[in-house]
Amino acid sequence: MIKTRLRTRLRRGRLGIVTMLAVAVLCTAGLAAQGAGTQPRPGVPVEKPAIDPSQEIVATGCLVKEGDNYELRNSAVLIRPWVAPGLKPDAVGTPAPSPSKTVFRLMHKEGLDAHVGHKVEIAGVIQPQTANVPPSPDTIVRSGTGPGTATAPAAAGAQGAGGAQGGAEQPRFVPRLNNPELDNKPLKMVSTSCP
Amino acid sequence: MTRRLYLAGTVALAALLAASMGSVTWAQTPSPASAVAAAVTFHKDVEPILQKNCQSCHRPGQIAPMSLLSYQAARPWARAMKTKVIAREMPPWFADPQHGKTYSTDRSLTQADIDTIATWVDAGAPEGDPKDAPPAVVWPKDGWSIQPDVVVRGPSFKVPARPPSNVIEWTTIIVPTGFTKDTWVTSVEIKPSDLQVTHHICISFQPHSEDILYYTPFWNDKTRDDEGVEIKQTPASASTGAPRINPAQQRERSPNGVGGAPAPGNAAVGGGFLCYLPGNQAFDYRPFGAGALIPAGYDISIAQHYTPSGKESVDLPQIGFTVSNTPPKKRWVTTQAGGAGNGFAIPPNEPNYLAPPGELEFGANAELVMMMPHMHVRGRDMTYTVVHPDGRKEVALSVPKYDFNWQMQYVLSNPVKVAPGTKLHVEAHYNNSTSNKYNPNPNRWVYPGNMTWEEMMSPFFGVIVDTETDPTTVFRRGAVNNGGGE
Repeated sequence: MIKTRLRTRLRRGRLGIVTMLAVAVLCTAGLAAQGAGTQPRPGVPVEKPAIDPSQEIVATGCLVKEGDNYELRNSAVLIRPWVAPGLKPDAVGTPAPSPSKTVFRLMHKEGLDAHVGHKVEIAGVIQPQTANVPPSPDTIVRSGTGPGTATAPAAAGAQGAGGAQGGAEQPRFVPRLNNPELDNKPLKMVSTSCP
Repeated sequence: MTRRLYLAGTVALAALLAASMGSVTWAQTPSPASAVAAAVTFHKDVEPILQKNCQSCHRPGQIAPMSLLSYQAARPWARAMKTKVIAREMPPWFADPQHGKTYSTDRSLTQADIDTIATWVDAGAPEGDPKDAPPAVVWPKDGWSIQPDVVVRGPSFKVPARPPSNVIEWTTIIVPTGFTKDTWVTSVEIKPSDLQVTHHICISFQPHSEDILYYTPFWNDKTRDDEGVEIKQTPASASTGAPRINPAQQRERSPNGVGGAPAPGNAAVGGGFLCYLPGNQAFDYRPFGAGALIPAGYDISIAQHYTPSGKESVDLPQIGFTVSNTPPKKRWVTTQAGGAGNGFAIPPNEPNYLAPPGELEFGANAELVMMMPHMHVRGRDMTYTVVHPDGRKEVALSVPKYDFNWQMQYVLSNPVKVAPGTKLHVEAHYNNSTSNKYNPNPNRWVYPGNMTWEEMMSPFFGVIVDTETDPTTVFRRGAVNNGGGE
């Protein structure tokens, strides 16, 4: 009986606005109950993760100007792994820069002009990166690129991103890379010479 | 038009009301229950089952879509729980029990557990007395499976909403470990922040080179057809009719298996080639008193595969470790028994294609402890057989109904001891027919490839050896038979 009435009223489009509001409230309550414990709720502060390793890196390298843009080249990179409270801070050793040929594109240009050609130390957070889409103007085509190195020839590039192992037949793929972009803080001068 | 919209809105709301009322009424009004059924409660009977078999995934930050940590969180899902456990779809588990092996990672339910959950649901899913509840399990925070001692940030990756052909090529990024002294790790976990878009993240450890380019994504732009399949055929083979694969491309696809797994000699560094995959947990060497050494200054090679979801997102993976101040007695080594090689080609509409088997020979005493079959959506089954030097065969794992959606570690409760000369032989079948509901196109040849609609045969496994054993001797290089993939 109730079903028939409901069906009739539905067919005629005569369910009142009050009824609809009541329905909406009930539905919201039902959905909230279903989501309990799984979703952050509006107005409730999200708890800070107990484990939150720093995203900041420190790069030391040569500051170069390319057109209107600045790059830090031959960058030695220092990261600080998160170490659990209770462990010695040097549980995995004392943090130290790791030499590399990394080229960082620098987001902020203020104060950089005076240090072009200098060896500088810059802290910052690397911006989220992407691969083949959309094609970036900064994407570099490297025929003969190895496994994440600046100089490895194609014949040695069997690992990592899948560099070709060479051979007579040319594969239908093109190795590419994107130089990382650094949300840089003010720099520290290291020396006026840059090897 | 307005009237139509009003009517449509009313109907939609009424439908929601019907669903909601069903749920609410059912939740608040216990159904008539027998005395036996009424005695089954959440806290006394169901919660212990959930703690043991379900909560490792059903908690915030894990792969499961809802939490089962409390009555309030679990209650709305009671009916679904009954349906899934009776069908044995949950918890997921695929090892064939007939070979006599048991696995510590087995979370499947006993028939008694299933009956308990069904009875509880039929009785109206009563909460019972909270005093009956078992002590809450203290799970690692922030969705970790291990409680890491050390965490290294991986590179943040922007996953576009809708890339061309819906493909984001595999990308490799090298980051420093930050470990400046030799470090024994006893477990490793790779934890993406956005599970929805993360197909896999695999890591391996490599010696530092001063010409490395850190945080620099490397990938290969590939020519793909309308279905996103890599174009790599050359004219058809005269013997089989199957289009052949350009050998250079074949090498590129998988130089050492999935995304560049380390050669057997390097398989011990940090534990070897370790992956986050949906359904996969941390690599935990601690139950075996084992560990893996990461030498000072080594770098992490991170192979990432993301799948677009229609919404742009950023993944911020982390790599967590537990560490030991002293060398463990055992060393953990992970590698794989071959992979899909040059001979791998699945004909159209073939329901039971047998791939060229993978085989690897041991060169030292070891204990087989973990297996992790990996195939893509056409994968049907995979069997790991240990062939002892005396010819005796021992099935260590058979997964007769492989499900791509669950990439699981099968950790043996009782490791299989192997002596030098023992072989690990792996066979896998693929279903490229219409009977495979996940098959995107049964009418084409299928070759090895990176995307899920291409194929892989990657029988990963882990062994432990004495710490004194030279890790380069554990597997005999050149003894891998994988049809050319190694």
